[in-house]
Amino acid sequence: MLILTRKLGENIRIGDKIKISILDVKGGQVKLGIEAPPHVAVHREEIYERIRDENQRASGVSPRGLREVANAFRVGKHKRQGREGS
Amino acid sequence: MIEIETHEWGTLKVKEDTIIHFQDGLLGFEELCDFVFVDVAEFRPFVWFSSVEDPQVRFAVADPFYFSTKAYDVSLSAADEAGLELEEGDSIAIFVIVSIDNGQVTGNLKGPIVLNTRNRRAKQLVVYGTSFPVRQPMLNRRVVPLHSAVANAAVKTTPAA
Repeated sequence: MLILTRKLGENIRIGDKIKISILDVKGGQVKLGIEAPPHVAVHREEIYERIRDENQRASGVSPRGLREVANAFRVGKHKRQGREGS
Repeated sequence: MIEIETHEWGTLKVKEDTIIHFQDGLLGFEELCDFVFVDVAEFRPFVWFSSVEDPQVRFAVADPFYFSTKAYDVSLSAADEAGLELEEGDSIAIFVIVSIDNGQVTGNLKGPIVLNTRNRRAKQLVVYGTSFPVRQPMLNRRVVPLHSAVANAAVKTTPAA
């Protein structure tokens, strides 16, 4: 991993098209400005982690459980917002 | 026809041109690139999405409109379009992975799957913004395309010559 030290107001360039600016440093937080072309996806790491965790969780859905909710949905007895109903 | 081993449904014979290919797999399942839909009547409106490479891995998927009536603004970046080899006139399908917790069904609107129906290339997107959560509870109703709403109600007529 490349490690660079930057001061407030200084930037980092990644290739020709990506610029990362240090906009603010306060307490334990750093505010970054990111300029990147539209084909580069920029997301917080946690978003990827959440989707990864959710994929993992979803891979455990059982046919039995899905059959139940599918049946309930088809007969219009779908439980909404977690409310229990029969 | 090729044969696919699945834990749930045993050996499935599928046409090669029904296999859906992910260049980068799904997040957390990056090594699995090929999937097939397994549509079983008793599970509708859900469809199973089963790995060709790992018999144990399958997801339940559904139309995003079962989870949100908001306009589902999934904009594809140039890189997404390139990954899907999207060309003028191609159709794309968008669906979401479903999970169930304690009888509560949720859809992952934050990481939908987008599919180019022409070449069956697919990609799991990461949607920008905060409007679409990873666990969106299922609605009791959904928005359907107009032509499906009018399918039984419309007067059928042949076009004038």
